[in-house]
Amino acid sequence: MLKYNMKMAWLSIRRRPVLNLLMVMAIGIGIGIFTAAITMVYQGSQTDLPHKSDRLFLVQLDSRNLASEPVDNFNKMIDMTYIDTVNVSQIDYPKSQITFGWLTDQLVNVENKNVMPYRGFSFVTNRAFFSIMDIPFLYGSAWSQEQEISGAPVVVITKARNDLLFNGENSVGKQIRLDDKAVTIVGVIDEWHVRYRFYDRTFMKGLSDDAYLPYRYALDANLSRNARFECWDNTSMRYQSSGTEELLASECGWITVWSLLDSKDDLAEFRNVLDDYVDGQRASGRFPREGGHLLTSLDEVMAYVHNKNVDYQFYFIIGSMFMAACIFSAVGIMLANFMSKTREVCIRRALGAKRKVLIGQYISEVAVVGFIGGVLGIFISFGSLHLMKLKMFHSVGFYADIADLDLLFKLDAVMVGTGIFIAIISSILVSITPILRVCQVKVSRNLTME
Amino acid sequence: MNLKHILKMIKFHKFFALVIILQVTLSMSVVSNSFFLGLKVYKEWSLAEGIVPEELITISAKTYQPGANFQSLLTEDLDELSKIKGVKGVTPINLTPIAAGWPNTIYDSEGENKTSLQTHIFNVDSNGLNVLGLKLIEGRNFNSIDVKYSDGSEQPNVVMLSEAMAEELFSDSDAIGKTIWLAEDSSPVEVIGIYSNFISSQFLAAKGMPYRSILQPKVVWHRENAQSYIIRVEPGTAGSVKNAISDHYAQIVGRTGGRPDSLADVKWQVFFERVGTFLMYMTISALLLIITFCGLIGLINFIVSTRKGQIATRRALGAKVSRIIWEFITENMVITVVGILFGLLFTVVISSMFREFNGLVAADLIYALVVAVVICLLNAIAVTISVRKTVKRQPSELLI
Repeated sequence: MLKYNMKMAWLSIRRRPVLNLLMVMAIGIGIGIFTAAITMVYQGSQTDLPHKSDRLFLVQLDSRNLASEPVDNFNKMIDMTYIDTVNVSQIDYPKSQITFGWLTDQLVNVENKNVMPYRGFSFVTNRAFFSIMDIPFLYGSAWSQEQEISGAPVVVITKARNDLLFNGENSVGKQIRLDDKAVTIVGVIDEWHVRYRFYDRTFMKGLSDDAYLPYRYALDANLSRNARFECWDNTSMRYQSSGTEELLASECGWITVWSLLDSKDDLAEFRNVLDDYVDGQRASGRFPREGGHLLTSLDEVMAYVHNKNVDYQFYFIIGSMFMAACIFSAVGIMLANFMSKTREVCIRRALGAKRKVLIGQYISEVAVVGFIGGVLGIFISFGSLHLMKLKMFHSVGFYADIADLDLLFKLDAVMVGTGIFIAIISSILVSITPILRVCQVKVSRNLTME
Repeated sequence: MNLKHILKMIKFHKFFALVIILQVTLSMSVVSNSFFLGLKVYKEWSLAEGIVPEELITISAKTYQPGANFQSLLTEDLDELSKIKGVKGVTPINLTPIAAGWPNTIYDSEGENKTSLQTHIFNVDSNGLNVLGLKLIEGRNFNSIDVKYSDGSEQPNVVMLSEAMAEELFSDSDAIGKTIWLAEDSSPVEVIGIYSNFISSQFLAAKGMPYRSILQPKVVWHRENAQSYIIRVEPGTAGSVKNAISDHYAQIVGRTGGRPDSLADVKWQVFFERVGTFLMYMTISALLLIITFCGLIGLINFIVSTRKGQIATRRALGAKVSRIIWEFITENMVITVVGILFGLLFTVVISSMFREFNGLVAADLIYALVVAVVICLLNAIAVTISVRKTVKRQPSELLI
């Protein structure tokens, strides 16, 4: 029966190509724009590292003075001091891996005079960063424990920068210069992109770091520190490039710290570990305030960020209204289409066709039109998302990498399925009235008129 | 045809009336909001810059020479850049006009009752005013004694204000000779001049304060931030000067001039996303109007087909074709106007919900009426196309 209905539907569509084309266009364009909008909302609200985002925690210790305002979320809390960062990363708690870091930038230059020096942005971190963030390596690996402790001048660069500086060849062992300091490449990471740069809390889109540097080396070489230094009663920008020793011994919060727990169930235990650490520090005169730590999972961090992102809400509202307007227009086109079937319906009814059968056939026809409209919509959606990606890419600026934006504009199977499903369902829903009307015409009167 | 009859007909075809109302409401909302976004971008784009962006080039010269003397490099840069053919003047600068980033907070007095204001403080040398092409309206320009050259440790004790800034700070009196504070707990600085307005940043432009700025006679050299310059060029020479700047730095080992941009390029970069968004919404609006038009034709065709008898009777009784068409237009116009009113409501609600619409005023709603007229016109055309064919047929054909 289904096969027969489909055949009838196809024949009917071919008999009225213009009206059906208009229907397909109305549904296709509506679904296309809507799917593009919901894809941006859906992808923009996804969290990176989904398999561990509920056990990866932003760690903040409240070492502020007594006069400071109470805070209830990570965004208002200071980052970690160097003293606490080092101490927490050295706590003997095997169920947690700690990584931390800050941003720096230098002029990256190589011996090859054909490569123009560029301002390179790097993340200064420890070697655990690569395993915690699931970063794949194309060549080499992260720096060793010995290199990390000794402050060896080594660097891990991205595939994009390796392509630019060394034409994609294995550059492990080669040197680049950061301003006037030579560093040796120990690893080249493969394609690795996040939707938002959460790990340094900039939450930037489309701008990945160019390189990763070991923290001991960055401190020894006095590489610039692009951080906000919260120093109790003030913020001191002078620590960006000077006063390293003073900064390291200070109560200034400036380092982003993450902890990956083996299991979500370890959270209570980890809280106790941090409380014990804070109590110990309090005994030596630090941490004057009550409480002490703030742990925020990556899920919670990103939920906060997504709530702030009103652009996508706007796209969603406009996309939904656009689709609804297209669907209502489709009702009109559908009515015109079914109105022209009055004679066909009367003859078939006079020949004994049941109303139920006719309704089934016409619904099949509409479903086919909806499916074709949905497929067209997916192509339109794909094109729209590509244009939106290009728009964002060019507006992010000179340093943007379009591959970093792929995740935010990716039309995946879920979205394709959703688009086609909505196209079919909405087509059927809007056609119910026209179909019922045409199937309820008075046969005798219409045939007499003919 | 009286209103009572029209309402009766609408009630009779209530499902279709509802569909048309929804269609018009949604189309009106989407198109009006797109129109508003375009209007906002246009307003921001067409705001007088106060400078000539095509004749100003911004560069950021960076250094990676071991042991470089940044003070002498600054002097060399100013000297070498001035020699390039087409260059009329150069000044070191810390921010890019039109696209300065996060604003500074300044204060009008000391103590607890001080008022803070957001602005941008542009550090320039004594050529700054002329290089930017600003007019001195009152007071005097910086002289070489005013300008403090240092690694950041020295603070000048004079500033110049833009006209808008002076108006904001000292609306009641003459600003010249007055003092302001460029940071909390800083030393006061004296206002020695007032210059013509220029757009300082998009951040302040979005807040309706595009012309707030302060010029400070200060040149800082330090390693961390590359040294930025603004270069004034002869009209039409920006392209060749940009190339010459790139070539100049490419020849010096350990230096790079980055990517010189004219302020016209900078403005375009700043507006790229907004213009893209505007074009996207206008495309969506055009498509939606076409689809709405097709849908209306279909719907009205159907309504007309159910009223063939009525049309035939009226034609047989001597009603003119134009009168019947006009009655259908009137009937549909009532429905359309209801849709438009709902659409206007939606438009206002949506535009008040999102910051994209900041800067629009109630008077701009007049543009929504343009959209309303376009939709009414499309509706009238759709009705005419649909009704005309049927009405022109003989009553006898319609009654069979």
